[in-house]
Amino acid sequence: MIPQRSSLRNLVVVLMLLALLSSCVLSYHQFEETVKVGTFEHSTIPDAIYVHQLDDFVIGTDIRLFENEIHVVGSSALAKLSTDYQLEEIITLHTRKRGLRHLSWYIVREDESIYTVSFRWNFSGHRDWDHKHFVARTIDRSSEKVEFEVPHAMKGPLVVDFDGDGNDSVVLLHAKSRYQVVLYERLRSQPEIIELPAFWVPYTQAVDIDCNGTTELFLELLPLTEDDDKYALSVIAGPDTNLYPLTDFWQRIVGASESACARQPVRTLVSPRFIGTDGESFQLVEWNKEENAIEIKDQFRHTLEHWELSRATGFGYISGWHEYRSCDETNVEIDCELRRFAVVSQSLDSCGIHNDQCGSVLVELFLNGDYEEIWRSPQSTRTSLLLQNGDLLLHSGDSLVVKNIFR
Amino acid sequence: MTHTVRKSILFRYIGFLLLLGIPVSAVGQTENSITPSEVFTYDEADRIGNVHDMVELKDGVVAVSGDYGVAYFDAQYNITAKKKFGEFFRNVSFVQVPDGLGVAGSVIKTLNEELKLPYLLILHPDLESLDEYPLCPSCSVVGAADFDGNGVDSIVAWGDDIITVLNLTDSSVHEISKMHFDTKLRNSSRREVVDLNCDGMEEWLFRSKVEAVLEHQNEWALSKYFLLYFDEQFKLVDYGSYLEENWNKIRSCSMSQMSKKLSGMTRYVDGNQVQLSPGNIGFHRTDNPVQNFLHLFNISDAVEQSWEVRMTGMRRAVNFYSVVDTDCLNENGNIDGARKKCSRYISVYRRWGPGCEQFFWENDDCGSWVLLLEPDGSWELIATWPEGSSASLFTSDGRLLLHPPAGLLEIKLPTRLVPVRE
Repeated sequence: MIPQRSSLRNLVVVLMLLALLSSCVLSYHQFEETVKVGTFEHSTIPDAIYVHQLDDFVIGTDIRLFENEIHVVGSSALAKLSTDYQLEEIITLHTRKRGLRHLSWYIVREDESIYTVSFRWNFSGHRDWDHKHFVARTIDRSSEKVEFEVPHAMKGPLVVDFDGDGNDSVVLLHAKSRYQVVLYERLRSQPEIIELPAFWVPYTQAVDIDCNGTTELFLELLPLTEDDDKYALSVIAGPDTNLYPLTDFWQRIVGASESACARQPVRTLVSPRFIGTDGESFQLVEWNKEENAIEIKDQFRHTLEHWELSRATGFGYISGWHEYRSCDETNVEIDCELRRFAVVSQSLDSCGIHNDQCGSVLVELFLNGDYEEIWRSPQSTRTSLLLQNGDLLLHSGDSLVVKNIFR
Repeated sequence: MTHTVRKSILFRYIGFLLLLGIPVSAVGQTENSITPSEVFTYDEADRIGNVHDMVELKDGVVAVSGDYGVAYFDAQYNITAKKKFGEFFRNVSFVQVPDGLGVAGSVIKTLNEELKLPYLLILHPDLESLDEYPLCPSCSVVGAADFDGNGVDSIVAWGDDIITVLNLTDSSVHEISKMHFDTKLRNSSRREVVDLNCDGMEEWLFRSKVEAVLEHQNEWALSKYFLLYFDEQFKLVDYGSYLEENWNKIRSCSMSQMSKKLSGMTRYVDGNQVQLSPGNIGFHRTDNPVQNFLHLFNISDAVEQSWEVRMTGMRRAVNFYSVVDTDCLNENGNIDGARKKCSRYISVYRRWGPGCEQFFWENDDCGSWVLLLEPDGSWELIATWPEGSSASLFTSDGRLLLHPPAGLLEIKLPTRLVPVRE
């Protein structure tokens, strides 16, 4: 008997419904294991206190405490949380227009308020006609604060408060035959331009080297000439934004006095390179991907300390460095113990292919190469912030995690 | 008439008006054109197709390799050896094989009705022996370099997931993952063979599209330079990492000795300042109707210099040479600053397709263009030829040779222009 066409159609509909039902059941079982965010499929981040719901809010790039609110800015949105980590507001920063893409956002302080800065690509389909813009937006959803076109090779933005007045400078870096550092303290004013004797600038970092409350711009560069070799580690510092070889800055500006960092209760360095000094020796941290180790080196590349991590391998980088002095309250001068914590984020070339671990790990580092793993995430942690109360905020994948590291 | 048709006609009319506004000659051009000499012409049946690689051998011998064969010319431009392939060779180029100078190319072989696979073919110096190596289905040959510095090249094949390197010394195959920073390298462009630290072991530099967060810099990167090099094993790193690790070697060698083989890589030295350019001026992309500027890129991707040269239609940067104007040097004294002022570039372009034919009617618009570029942004079109050449050779004695399909052309450059010798 030949079935009628309507019977066939009914059969197809029933089969489709069954398939739909089975996929729903399967999804329900899988839901507890994974959270799907945009094109990424993330395993749940352990100890997450907040998971972003917006598809593109995946990459956290900056966390800042401002007027008793925690601001977390991601690749396309900004979240405001109270100090007890209750979400107050989510503000979308990106545009969904075709051909436009914002890069990472960063938070800038100016005149008792904050705004966010980023680059935006306007893609035309041909590189010759693509345009790159620097954009700054207030975070109250008002129109863009300022926007101007920059050369394709412009890097940044970095945020530095050279004079400690609470108004940050936005720093852009332009790769030219002599690298240019372009500084805007006020975005609508003419920028100050400092030329570097550099062929290549591998690292830049905003850091308070002498712990006096102002920040400096630390630069690691490949010098143009042998005469410029003294600038291989250099710093732009002070209200006059002078360029110094790092040794000169330390000897002439800071002097032989002990680093004021010893009195700092907490110290946070994001994407750190420069982490401290020991006399005239400068401490640079790096991830040794061959030995799967966190290493502190001096400026001559001598290894000062070495921690081999057994469960973090391959390509990665140090995404956060946090330290504080844990003091016995009865005798602050004597019984202080420096506690150091590092966040290693992995982005392996073999990640997920050769059964290597992916993600990031928070470790406490002890003397003699010992370490303790405190937390592990299946995703990269790109930004973290240590608060005065010991809460370490980590933004990993699509989630915000808080770990109190004081004891 | 419908709205769409009316709009289409209106746009075409506006487009035509705009095209009329494009000047045929552009800023900076002067009239000092040199007519190339036809130093060798093939019989029609003996042609070897478009020539993609030209090399200079001993005693002024010039070898050329094309889609359908290879030819060797002596210093008087007589053919001394020739081999025609039985089929079309893709990406044909000369390579060093263990017994001399060979030719590499690839073909697509039909194995059965459903299966077609690319094969790498190596023609040996006897011009008879042919080695075949099957490539992965997505692979295409993109380059060759002497990575281990033993005088024999390795072939680089680009696949979907891996880069495969075939070392012609021992026919060993090495696979390198294209994964980098959580993403897979998309394509390769601006490919150059270099020897950055002058140790005789060549590196393969290319630009590739990546879409990932470069977490060191908290920066999304769209394209960046990568380097494939040999260090006991083949390694793929981003150019910046390589520079950081090898900067002292690179700088000392660029100041003290000449790189073994520059091969299109332009390295010019001004005092102790070293700049590298990818040896590529303008763009290989050919789908834009009008290109206004030729750009010389610094390796850090900044535009180093620009020249306003309007070209329409399909175009390809064939080669780029650094020269010095000796008249200028004599006038300015042979000091560091003068060398920069007196530096010139010769840029060879091939132009073809409906663009130049449709928009322009002068015979010299399509075909080959040779431009002389000056540091102040001025330029002159020093030679043109109506046939396009896909390769060029600047010989050690200062002859500029082109090879369109019909034969070999020689362009006698003004004697004041001499190649930069480091």
